[in-house]
Amino acid sequence: MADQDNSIGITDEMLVAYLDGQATTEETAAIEEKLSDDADVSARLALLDAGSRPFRKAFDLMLEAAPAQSLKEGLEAARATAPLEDNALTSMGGYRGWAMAACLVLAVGLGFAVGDRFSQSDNQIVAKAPTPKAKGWRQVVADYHALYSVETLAGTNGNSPLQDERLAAASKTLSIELKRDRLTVDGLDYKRTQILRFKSKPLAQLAYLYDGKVPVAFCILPSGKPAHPPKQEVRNGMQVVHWIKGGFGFMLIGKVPADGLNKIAKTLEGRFG
Amino acid sequence: MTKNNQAFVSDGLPALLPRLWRFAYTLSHSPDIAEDLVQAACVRALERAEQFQQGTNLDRWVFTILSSIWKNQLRANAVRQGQGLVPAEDVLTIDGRRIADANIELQQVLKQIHGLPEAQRVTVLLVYVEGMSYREAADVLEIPIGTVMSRLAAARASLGKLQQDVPDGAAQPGNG
Repeated sequence: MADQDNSIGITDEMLVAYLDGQATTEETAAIEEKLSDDADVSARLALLDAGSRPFRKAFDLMLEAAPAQSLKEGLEAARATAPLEDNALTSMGGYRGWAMAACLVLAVGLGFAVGDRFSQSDNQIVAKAPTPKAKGWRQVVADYHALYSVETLAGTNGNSPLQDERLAAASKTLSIELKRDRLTVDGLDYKRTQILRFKSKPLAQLAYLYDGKVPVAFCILPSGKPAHPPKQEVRNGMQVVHWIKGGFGFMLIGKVPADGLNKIAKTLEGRFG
Repeated sequence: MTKNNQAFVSDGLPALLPRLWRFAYTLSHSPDIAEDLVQAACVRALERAEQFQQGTNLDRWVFTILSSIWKNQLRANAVRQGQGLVPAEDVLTIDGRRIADANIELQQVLKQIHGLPEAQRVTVLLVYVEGMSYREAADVLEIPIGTVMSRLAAARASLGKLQQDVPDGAAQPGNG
């Protein structure tokens, strides 16, 4: 009469091993026996099975994106330094420098993904990291933009087919028309577009060089807030002009003279919304 | 013999670079840290080439080195600073390159996996993409085999929930 509940003994780990063909013969037999009459086990198996994906194909996309040339150069540098050094990180310092690593770590810490939906996953390894107070998007952009230097953008060709594709992708993602003729402004050299994310909303970041040397970003984010005309402010020592129009928040930022930025903002504001 | 080993490791590294970088990126979620991590792993592999046993798998050996550098020397800093500058979308736009013609569905899959916690996504990579057995993945990550299994179970449960919860809302109306 004592109804032994074997399903307690069937763990998710065993079910995954079963799905992966790595369960032992005994486990396989026990699972298959339970599957026919234990709804809980069947439901868990179905959930784990639904968690299957074309993992390999998806991850292979990343191989195409690997910075091949740069990795090759890194290996050459490693070959040059390896016999001389005892410590890999010391020699890494010789090549790119710990200062750079520190900058990157700092960059990583700026929390662009604070509002990112993915950062809310449970059990995340960063769960113990202090969560900064929620920042508005303009401050997050300002923090991000502060890391830009002329080198960030100098090597990028804004007229490449790649950039055409990225503009098209950003247009589609934000449902706003981003075409070169709307984005070309006197005094700014268009470089590239990135789609970022702020609090689950897509954020288009269009990067320019002003006067050939100062990074300027034009950012667009869907906004449900009331429209307002361009306003000026200073964040992190950079000039900012921002406005809301036609369901989008716009922001222009860079370490350029306020007059110059205002003029550019006026041109762009006239073209959007 | 030592010299042979050095040459063997050195000659084997170039072909591994893209996969090492993918592993490093999956760990760090930062294209720049990933590059540094790959380079540091190459340096250490070359330094320790005499410890490598020819006839065993070079990829696993270098993956283990890379994982160990990340775990013992770099991750602490990244975590202390609060990881996550790079949004999931940037997986697809690394270094200015866009994976342009990639199947939308695969891009979505990649985003979902990169939305998982580090421990889970990296275990998924090793087992389901690199084709390691649970034991091999456990060795590379220097964790018990049971932990590999529980990470896979957690990853698949999360992905399974996404599949069950989310209606087909991901597709955006295409307008060319």
